[in-house]
Amino acid sequence: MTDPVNFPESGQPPRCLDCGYILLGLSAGNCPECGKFFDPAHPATWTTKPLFVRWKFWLPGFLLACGGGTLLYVFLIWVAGWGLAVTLVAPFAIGTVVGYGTTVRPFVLVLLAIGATIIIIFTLVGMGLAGTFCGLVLASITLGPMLVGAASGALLRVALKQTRFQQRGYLPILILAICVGLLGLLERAIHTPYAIERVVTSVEIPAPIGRTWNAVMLYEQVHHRPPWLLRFGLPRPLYTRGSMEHVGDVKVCVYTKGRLVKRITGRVPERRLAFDVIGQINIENHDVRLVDGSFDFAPDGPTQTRITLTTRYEPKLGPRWVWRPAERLAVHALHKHVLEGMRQKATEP
Amino acid sequence: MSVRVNRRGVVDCRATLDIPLSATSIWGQLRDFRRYARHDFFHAEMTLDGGIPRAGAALTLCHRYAGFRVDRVGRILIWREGVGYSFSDLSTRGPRAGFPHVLSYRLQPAGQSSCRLHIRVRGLWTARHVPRWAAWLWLTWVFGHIVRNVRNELMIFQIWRRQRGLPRACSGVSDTQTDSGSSPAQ
Repeated sequence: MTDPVNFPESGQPPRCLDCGYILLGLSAGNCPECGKFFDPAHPATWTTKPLFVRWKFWLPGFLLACGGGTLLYVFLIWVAGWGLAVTLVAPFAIGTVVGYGTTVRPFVLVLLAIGATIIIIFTLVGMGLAGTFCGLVLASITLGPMLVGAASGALLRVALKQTRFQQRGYLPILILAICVGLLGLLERAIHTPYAIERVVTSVEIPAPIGRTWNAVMLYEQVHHRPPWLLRFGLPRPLYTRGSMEHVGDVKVCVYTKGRLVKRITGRVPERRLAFDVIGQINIENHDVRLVDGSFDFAPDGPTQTRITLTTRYEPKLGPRWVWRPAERLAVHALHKHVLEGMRQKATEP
Repeated sequence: MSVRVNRRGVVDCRATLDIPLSATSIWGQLRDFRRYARHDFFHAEMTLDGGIPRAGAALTLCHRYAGFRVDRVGRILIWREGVGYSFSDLSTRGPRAGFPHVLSYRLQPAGQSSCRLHIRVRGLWTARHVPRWAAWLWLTWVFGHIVRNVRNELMIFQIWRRQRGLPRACSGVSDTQTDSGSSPAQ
C-alpha cells in the first residue's frame, strides 16, 4: 500500500482514468466507482487532466462562426454581390451559429458576437473583398443582426436541448447555411442595378467669383489635413497629372492603391466645370462606380460666391436604405474637404 | 432553494439538487474539496492543512472581491466518505465576528442511478446595521451563485460521462468506501 500523500503536487486533483473519480486521499487500490486499479506512485494509472477545459464551451463554435462566416461571405459576395444576403442575412446567420454553438453567459455571448464580426470584416478587407470604409460601415451595420442572431441561436439551442432530436448538433446550422446560400442565389436571379445616386453639397465662399473660380481643385489636389473618415476610410490621394484647361482634357489622379481618370466634359469659366470619371482602378470598386461630378459657381454678391459640388455614382451596395446614409456621409465629407481647400485658396492674401 | 435570516441573525440557506447519477459517481466529484469549497465566488484561494481533505484539517480561505482581500480561516468539521462534508468559514477576529458560517454538502442516494445533493449554509449574520431584507437579498444572490456553480459543475460531469459512454449507475465497487470522520486513507 502506498501512503495517500504520495500523489505528486499538482494544480489538478488526481482522477481515475476511466470514470474521473477524484482519487485524492485514497491509497493505492481499485477506484471506488469503477474498480480500475490506480497507484499514486505510478502516474500512468491515474490522470490530472480536467474533465473539460473552458475553451471547449466556446472556442469550437466561435471558430466555426468565424471560419464558416467568412466562407459564407465570400460565397455570397461572389454569387450575389453586396445585397440583402450579405448585409443583413449573413450576419444574422453567423450570429445564430455563435449563439447555437457556444455555451456561455449572455455577456460573453455579446463579446463573442462582436469578436466574430471584427474577425470576419478584417478578413474580408484583408482579402480585398471590401474597402476599408465599406468594411467599417459593414461592421457597424452587421452588429445588430449579429446580436439578434446570437440571441436566437442561444434560444434555439436551449429549446432543442429539451427535445430528443439527435441531429441537433449540426443539422440546424447546416440548414441555416443552405438557406442563406439559396437566398444569395435568389438575390442574384432577381437583382437589378441600383439607380444612380446624386449627392450635392453647397457652400458660400467669402471671395469674388473670379478668385473662387481660380481656386477650383479636385479632391486629390487639396493639401490640408482631411477628416478622419477620409484618412482612415478611403484611399489616400498622392498626386495628379494632366490638365483641366479645356473640354476633353484628361486628369489622372493617383492614390495609394489605385487611380481615377477624369475627363473634362464642360468648362464655362466662372460658371461650371464638369467631368466624367472614365477610369476607376482599385478605388472602392466593390462599393461604387463613379459616374461624373461638377462644380457650379454662382455669384452671391460682389464678395461672395456660392459653389455647388455634385457627385453622381452608381451604387453597388444594398439594400439601399442601409447603405445610403453612410455613402452620403462619406461623399459630403469629401465635398466639404474639397470646398474647404478652395475656400482657403480663394481667401488667402 | 430557500434562504432564511431570523431576527437574531441566524442564517440558514438550503438547496437540493436532483442528479441523474449514482451517489458514488457524484461523491467521486464532490471529493474535489478545493473545487467545491471555492464555488463561493469570494473564495479566491484556499490553503488546506496537509493538502488532503479530512475531518479536522485547518484551512485558510482568501476572499477577494473588487480589489479587496480578506483572509479567513476555517476547518473541515465533517468528512464522511460517500456522504458529504462540512467546513467552517470564520473571521480571523473570532468565531462570532464577520459572518461566521458553515457550508455543507450531503449526498442522499435515490435509487441505483440517481441521487440528491443537499447544499446548506448555516451561520450568523453579524452586521446588525444591515437591514434583514438586505442581508436576505445578499445571501440569496451569493448562495444562488454557489448552487448554480455546483449544478453546472455536475452537469459538465454528466456530459463528460455521456460522451465516454459511461452508465448512470456505477459498476458497484463502492464497498471500498469508508465512512468515518477521519482520513479515508486505508
